[in-house]
Amino acid sequence: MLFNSFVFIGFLLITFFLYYLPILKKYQVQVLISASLFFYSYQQPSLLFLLLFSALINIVFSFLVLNGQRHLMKIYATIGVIINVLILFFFKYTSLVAKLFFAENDSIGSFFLNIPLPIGISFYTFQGISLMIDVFRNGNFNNIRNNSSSFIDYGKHVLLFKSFFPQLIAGPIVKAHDFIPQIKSKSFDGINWEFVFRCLITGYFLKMVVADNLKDFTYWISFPFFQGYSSLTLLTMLFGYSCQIFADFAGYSLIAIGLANLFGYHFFNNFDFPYFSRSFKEFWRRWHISLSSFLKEYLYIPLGGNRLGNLRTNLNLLLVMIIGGFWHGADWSYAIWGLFHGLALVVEKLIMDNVKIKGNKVISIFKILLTFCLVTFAWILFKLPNFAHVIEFFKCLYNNFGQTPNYQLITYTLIYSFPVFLYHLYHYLKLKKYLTDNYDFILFGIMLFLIITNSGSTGSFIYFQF
Amino acid sequence: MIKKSLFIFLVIFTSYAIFVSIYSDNFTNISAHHWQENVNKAESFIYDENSVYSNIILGSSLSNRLIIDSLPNCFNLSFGGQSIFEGLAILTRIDNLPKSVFIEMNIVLKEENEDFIESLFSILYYPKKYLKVLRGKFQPITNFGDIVNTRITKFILPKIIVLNVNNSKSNPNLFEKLLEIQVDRYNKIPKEKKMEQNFNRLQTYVSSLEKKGVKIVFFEMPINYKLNNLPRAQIVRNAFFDKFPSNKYNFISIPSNENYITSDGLHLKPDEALKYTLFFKNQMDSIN
Repeated sequence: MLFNSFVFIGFLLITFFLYYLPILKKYQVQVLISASLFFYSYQQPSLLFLLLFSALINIVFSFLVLNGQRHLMKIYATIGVIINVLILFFFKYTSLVAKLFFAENDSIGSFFLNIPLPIGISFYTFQGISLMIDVFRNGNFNNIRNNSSSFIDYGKHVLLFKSFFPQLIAGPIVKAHDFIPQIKSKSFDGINWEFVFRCLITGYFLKMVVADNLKDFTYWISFPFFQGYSSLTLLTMLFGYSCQIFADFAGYSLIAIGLANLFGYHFFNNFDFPYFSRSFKEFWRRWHISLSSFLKEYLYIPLGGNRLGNLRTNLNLLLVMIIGGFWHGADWSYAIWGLFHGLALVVEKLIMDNVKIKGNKVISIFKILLTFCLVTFAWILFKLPNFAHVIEFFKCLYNNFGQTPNYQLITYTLIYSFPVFLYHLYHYLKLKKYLTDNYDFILFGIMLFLIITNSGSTGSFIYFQF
Repeated sequence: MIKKSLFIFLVIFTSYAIFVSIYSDNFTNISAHHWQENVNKAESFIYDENSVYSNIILGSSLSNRLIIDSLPNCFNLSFGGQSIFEGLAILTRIDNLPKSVFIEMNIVLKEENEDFIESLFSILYYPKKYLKVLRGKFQPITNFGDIVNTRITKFILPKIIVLNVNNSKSNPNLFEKLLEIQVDRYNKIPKEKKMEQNFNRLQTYVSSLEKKGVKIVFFEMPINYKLNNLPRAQIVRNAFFDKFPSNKYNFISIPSNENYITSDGLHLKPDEALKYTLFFKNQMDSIN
């Protein structure tokens, strides 16, 4: 079920009504779980079994960690993490490994190559891993122990954590220690309507007006179509794709944050104006924050982080970024994308450690532009998962200079990309106190008008595939 | 803040709705991309209750190349990037049916795009019927983009073309590469299950139209001559003759004495499209 479908609006209204109905106040968790399971199974009911199986594994093993014998805690937590990783590996990466060993026509190869990728598996599996590690560390879980002493109560809380529909299929990746303590009775008066309005209007605008329109122009980056376009057109489309992927995912995250708030749950920001980053390090503090903080908290720091010398720090960075790349998809191009970002972080760190650059506005603008351009060029690996096509694309970018540009494509791509830059600039001007919130209502009125009159065709969110 | 935003929205929306209702005839069918072109075409067909067409062409981007100005009393309900099924699905949902429906034979193995049909006949069907401003044709950014684009084309482009006239080059191998992709595709035998599913679906649509007194004519759009007799083209062609016997249905076959080159293996070049449209018109006249 897509957030931008009429079915979803109906579903949301019914769930919201039942959730705050005084007679059902005691059953708010059950209402949310039922609604979330319905939401997940709407298009492919069979996938529900996998989600429930994954949830059950996490409930059982995390309960054992919390309530089992102390000396077995680590073993239970480790088994829980391993099972989560195996589930993810089987459904997401078996086809990649099978390609190396089996032919497509082979019956075994065909079985492995055609394993379906359940929607949202990367997100809810990572949440399962977060649960296992968090209960093992036992840091912020007092309310689990106090409020969910019985297995059934505990199971309900974990099932809600794993299945809560606003973040179920495309994140943000919510960590157990952030979400589970929030599970308690919620009141209608507690809703911050202005916050919800801002999130939903901005989110739907970015998704339906910007991303959904841009996708029909950037479509031509696909193989083999890009070969017929001039360098200028290709370059514009690539920058358009960069804006599209931001608008698509940041839009989705804002909608998810707004929806969660409607039910009394708070998610952290997933995007913090990433295209204004002056370095890759800053970019990863601003882009898909829930993933980067997950990787930092549960992978980079346990690997030793930056505490074991320069060489080990750099290796850790590379490893984490390659795994982060692979998390996006079972194709080598995603690993190369991760490697590119990892190398950029390492090189950047080397420069920062050895060269002292005085900061001023011109240098800052140059750094922002450089980071944005490099990040944008790397997105081509998302659009063209076949690496041979990526090379062909860059060849065309270099060779097609003499061709006449497609001005219609360029004009519309620039027009629909413009709101992404305006969004960043508006934030910057507010940050510098050149603008206040006083006239925001005009922008929100315009955005609402464009959502109603100028939405693109309904398309899946790009991050659904991950 | 929410109330103020909603007020601003209402002011802008109402003003634009009034503007559109007054000047709707001045808006042309601008489309920024093929999906929008499809939506605009479908909406103008669905909501235009005054025009009744004798002939309707249903097809994909291949039939979209037919020059409709040369085909009087005919509406080309062909959609780029889609199949024949979207047009058929639209026809089963409207009242004003034509005398004859011409169904393209080439792209029959593509699935029906249910999202497209759903978007046309969704909860917004009636609001769109009475509030033109909600239709794709009147999208403000698309129309603004067209103004910008027209200015670029009018003022900047000629200068750039003059500058580039001696340097301009196109990718000479592109056509061969695209044709090669199509040759590979047309050498593959289509999956039987898919063939059966799609032909069953087509038969259901056809019999539903026939019950309402519509005459069905099948036609094959010319593609590159090297593809004409490859396995995929032959299997699909034979399946049509098998499911829809020629003693019961009319067929317009590819003119045997012409070798079409096309721009990419599948889509006719403008001069070829004109040539084929004239042939098609003659056939259409003789059938009607």
